[in-house]
Amino acid sequence: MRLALLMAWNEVVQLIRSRTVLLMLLGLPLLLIFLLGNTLESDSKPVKLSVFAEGSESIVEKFKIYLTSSDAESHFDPLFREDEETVKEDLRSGKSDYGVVVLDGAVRYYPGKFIERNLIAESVLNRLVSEMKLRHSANAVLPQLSDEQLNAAISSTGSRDFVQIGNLVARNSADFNNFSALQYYSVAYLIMFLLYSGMTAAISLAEERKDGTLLRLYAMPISLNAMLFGKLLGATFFALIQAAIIVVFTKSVYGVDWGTDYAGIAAVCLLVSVATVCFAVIISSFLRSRRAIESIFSLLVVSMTFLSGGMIADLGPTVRKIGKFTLNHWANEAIRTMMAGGALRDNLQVIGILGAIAAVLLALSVLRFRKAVALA
Amino acid sequence: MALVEFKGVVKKYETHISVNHLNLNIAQGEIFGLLGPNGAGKSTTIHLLAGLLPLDSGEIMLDGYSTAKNPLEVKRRIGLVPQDLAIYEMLSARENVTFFGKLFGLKGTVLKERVEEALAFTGLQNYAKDRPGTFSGGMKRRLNIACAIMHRPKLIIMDEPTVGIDPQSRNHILESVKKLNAMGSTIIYTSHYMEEVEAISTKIGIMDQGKLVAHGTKEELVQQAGLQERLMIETNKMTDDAAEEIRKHPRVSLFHIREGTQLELVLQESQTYLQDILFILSKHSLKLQKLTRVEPDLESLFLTLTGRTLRDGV
Repeated sequence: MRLALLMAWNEVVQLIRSRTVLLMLLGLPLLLIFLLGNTLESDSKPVKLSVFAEGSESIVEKFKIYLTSSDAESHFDPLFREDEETVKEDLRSGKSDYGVVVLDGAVRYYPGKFIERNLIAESVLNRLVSEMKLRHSANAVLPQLSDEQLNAAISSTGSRDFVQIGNLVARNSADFNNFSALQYYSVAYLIMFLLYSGMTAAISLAEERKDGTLLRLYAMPISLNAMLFGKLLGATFFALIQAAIIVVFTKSVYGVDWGTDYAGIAAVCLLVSVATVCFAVIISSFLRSRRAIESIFSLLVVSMTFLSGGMIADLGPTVRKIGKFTLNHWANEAIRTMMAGGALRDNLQVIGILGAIAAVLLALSVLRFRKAVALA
Repeated sequence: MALVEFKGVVKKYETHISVNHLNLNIAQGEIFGLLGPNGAGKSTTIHLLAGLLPLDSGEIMLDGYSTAKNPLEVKRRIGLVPQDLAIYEMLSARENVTFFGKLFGLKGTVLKERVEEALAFTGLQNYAKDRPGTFSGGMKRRLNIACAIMHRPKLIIMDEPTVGIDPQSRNHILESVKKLNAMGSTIIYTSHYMEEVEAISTKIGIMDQGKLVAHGTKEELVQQAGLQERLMIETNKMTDDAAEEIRKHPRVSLFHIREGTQLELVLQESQTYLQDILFILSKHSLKLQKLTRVEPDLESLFLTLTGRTLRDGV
């Protein structure tokens, strides 16, 4: 066991000192999660609205009250300005997405660069203006109505939800199954890059063979079992470090909510890591060159990630069915259940399938391991 | 007593026999030079001894342990310096030696001492913290050696350790081999550079096409092959008549003219009959400029034993 641990330590040190490996297994997933998560999630952020209101005090007051109300909070991030020119300047400089000027009872809209944001802003503002007009008309025709009666009447004319933001990535969107884009992609890429750590193990074995260190290891008083077990243990340990870094980083920097069952997430990551390093042994028993290993591994990992919806959220029922044959699907399911507040024990079926995949790969890797570490 | 015993060892690769019924004993304390062209079976032989390859038949014993039955005991007694560099580029020189030292079971203070000793021995103590990527070819070769000697093995196997390095590093390695031997290790040294093998070996084995064609001390091999010393005679000029007369001398068994004025010949009982040759030169008004006696070397030995030069096979 001491020798296996020594081999594992050596493997981890080699991986940690390789800039390429660090960049690929740590830098790349964090970057991809950030890019995809934020790009797709940006539409659901409140529209930055520059506002200048002057004239009838009651209108200006109502406008300001509304824009700072909880109703408008999810749609607007208002910036109150002193004059119309500042509103225009905000739009030009990109400080705001949309501008609105209320001057002596007249409303002027200043659309920004993004059509979707303009649409959201105009929908909400039109609804507000309509409501104010209605209130104004009611006051003129039925001055005896109290404010409460007027509010009730206005409420009954339609939904208080002025606009439904139907973009693909908002929370409660059907495509992400109640997860934010950041959550969704954090899980998908966590699993994808865990699978890539298996490729690193296979490459490490191929490089040991090419660099002659495998031959020297053969000449050492250490059994083949201890040698390979140590290498795989190192690769698994590195994969778990990688998973921990991705989870901690995305939680603390991107604010991804991973739920509370971190032990459960760790268990899923461990199963995925075991599966991928066992697969690495199987691949290494057939392929010797780094390039061939990279090609096959990349093809499989990317295909499985795609089929499991890790790149595009909803690929339709057929692909979804095919995706169930991938390891990614079950790992994603397990972690997302925990993200949604579930625990590992709620996932026994999913964990069982994941464990079965890992067990089959482990059995195959035991059968092929001598070929995998053969010198020639 | 023999430290290493090869008994009828055979190793085949499909139809090609790489080691063909090898029988050889190597005594403790020897520097055994294994000589032969590439493909002669040298590397396969030492890979079999180091337990890197399984035997097809026969047996190899090291210090009383069989490579087939007690591979780990055999490996504990061996320090292998592979032909190709076998070091981790991501580890420093010290970390490389330490890692392999730990695999040999060294721990604690002993490990630290042995690592420093191995680094000092190979002249790398000032580069201990550096990674091999910054090393010259010679330094990498020395680190390759350091990784194989820190556990003070009984047998050190060096497979072509001087390939592709500068003369300074080469000399350092050759001196190291002698020192390691003086410190008690038996050495098996394979090379196709005969002058290296000749310079350091106490016994020599010559392999060709998987067979050990001869082994013994250099003197024994020369005697076995019936090799004789050659005379190199250089004159101011050479005439056909003089050359013909020398060639016909009854005691000249080999005659060859090189570069017009240089004669290479084997003269039986040269101490007695050299004066005849000098007389012939004088008779033809030829002036002797240089006379050299050349001892039989491994190149001529190899030529005699295999019918080709060592370089032909390289």
